[in-house]
Amino acid sequence: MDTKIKEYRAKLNLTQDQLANLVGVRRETIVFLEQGKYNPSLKLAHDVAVVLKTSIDKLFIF
Amino acid sequence: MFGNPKWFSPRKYTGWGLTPSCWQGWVYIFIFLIPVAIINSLSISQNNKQYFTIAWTSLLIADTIHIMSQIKKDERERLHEAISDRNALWFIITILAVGMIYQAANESACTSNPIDPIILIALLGGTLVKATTQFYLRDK
Repeated sequence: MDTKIKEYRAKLNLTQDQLANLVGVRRETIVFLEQGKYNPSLKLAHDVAVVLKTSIDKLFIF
Repeated sequence: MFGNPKWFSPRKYTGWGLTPSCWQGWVYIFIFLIPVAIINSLSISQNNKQYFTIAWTSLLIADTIHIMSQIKKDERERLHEAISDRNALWFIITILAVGMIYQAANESACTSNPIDPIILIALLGGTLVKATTQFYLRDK
C-alpha cells in the first residue's frame, strides 16, 4: 500500500504530531501510515482524509 | 483512584501490566512499597502483617486495573495488543493442555485426582470468556 499522506500533510503545513492529535491517534501510527506499513480502519482512513481535505481513494493507493 | 494514567505506559515486551514512563510513576511505586516495608519491620503478629499486606496489595491491584482502563490506546496499539495477547494465550493453552495430558497419562494409576483442578478451571473459564466475548462482539 502506498499513501499520499505526507504530501497532503505538507500542503496544509501540518506536523505528524498535529495530524495525530486531530485524528486521535499516536504520532507513531501516522509515521507507519505514511510509510504504508499500517493498514488503517475505514474510520481512521476517513478521519485522515477529512483532516487533509481530500478523499480516501486519493490518499491511499492499493 | 490514586495513580495518574500519564505516569505509566502498558508493558509491551516484558509481560502484562504497567511500567512507569516518568519519575512520577517510580515515586508512586515507591510510595506504595513504603507501608509494606514499615509494617513488615514492626514487631506485630505475623497474621496482622499478612492481613495488611494482602489488603495493601489488593488496593495496588485495583488501582493498577483502574489506571490500565484509563490509558488511551489508538486502533493500531489495540490491534497489536490483541494479536500479541492471542499468540501468548495460544502458547499458554498449548503448554497447559499438553501438561494435563502428560499428567493424566503418567499419574492416573498413582493418584485419584491426576489433573490439577486449577488448570482445568483456567481452561474451562477461558473457554467461557471466549464464548461470552464472541456473543458480545457478534452484534457490535
